[in-house]
Amino acid sequence: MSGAATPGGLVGLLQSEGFVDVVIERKEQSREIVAGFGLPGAEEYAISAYILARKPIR
Amino acid sequence: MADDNIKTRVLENYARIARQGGTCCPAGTGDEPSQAGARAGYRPEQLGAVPDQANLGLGCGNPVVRAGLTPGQTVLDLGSGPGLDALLAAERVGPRGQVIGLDMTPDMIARAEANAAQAKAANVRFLLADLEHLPLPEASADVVLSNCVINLCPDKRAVYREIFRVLRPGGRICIADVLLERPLPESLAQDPKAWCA
Repeated sequence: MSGAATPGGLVGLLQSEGFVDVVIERKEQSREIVAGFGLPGAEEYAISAYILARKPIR
Repeated sequence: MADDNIKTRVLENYARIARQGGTCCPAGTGDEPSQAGARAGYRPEQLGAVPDQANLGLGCGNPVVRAGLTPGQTVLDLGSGPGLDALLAAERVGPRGQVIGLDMTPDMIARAEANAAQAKAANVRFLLADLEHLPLPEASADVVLSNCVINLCPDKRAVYREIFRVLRPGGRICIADVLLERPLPESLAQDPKAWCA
């Protein structure tokens, strides 16, 4: 996770590559998921999320 | 950490997991893959529908369910590991659809192919690939999935540029991944394990 993107940075990256309808959707169990990585305290900094987007039709 | 070092470390870590089992995470978390899978959002009936060896507890979400796949679609799974999401997606897209799993770890490809054979999934195949250079033609996929992998890629822009290229117009991504809301403290950021989890 050390190389993970930030939510805002990733939205900007996707938009600049041409994606539309970009949504970052934090998972309900985000804290539990990240805590399960076994890196103490990581859940205070990292989240688990869905990244949703679409390639425009034209 | 230099980009090449990150890739090498990730490759070695996931090759070890493919050969020996275990999860992506440090020992001592007390987790079984089924527990990690449940936490990520997989229902028991989903995990029961694929070979046990397909679930190594490597995901941080359940992109197959969130993506709303429909029959006949062509789906890519980037960083397909032992094939869990690819096999679940193959069931959803049915015999008129197809799923292509891509992974940079030869041991994971071998494991995924064995799991697909055991599941008798005829509409799924696996390719060895660097996610920054997808070996697929442009506009060839309806949906691109990935599960807790792209955060490990040093050049994320290259990965998303390739995804955009291979998607058909109107195609979608549904990617489960780890994001950083705040910078990690230096002690955690430099922990070698944090570059692989």
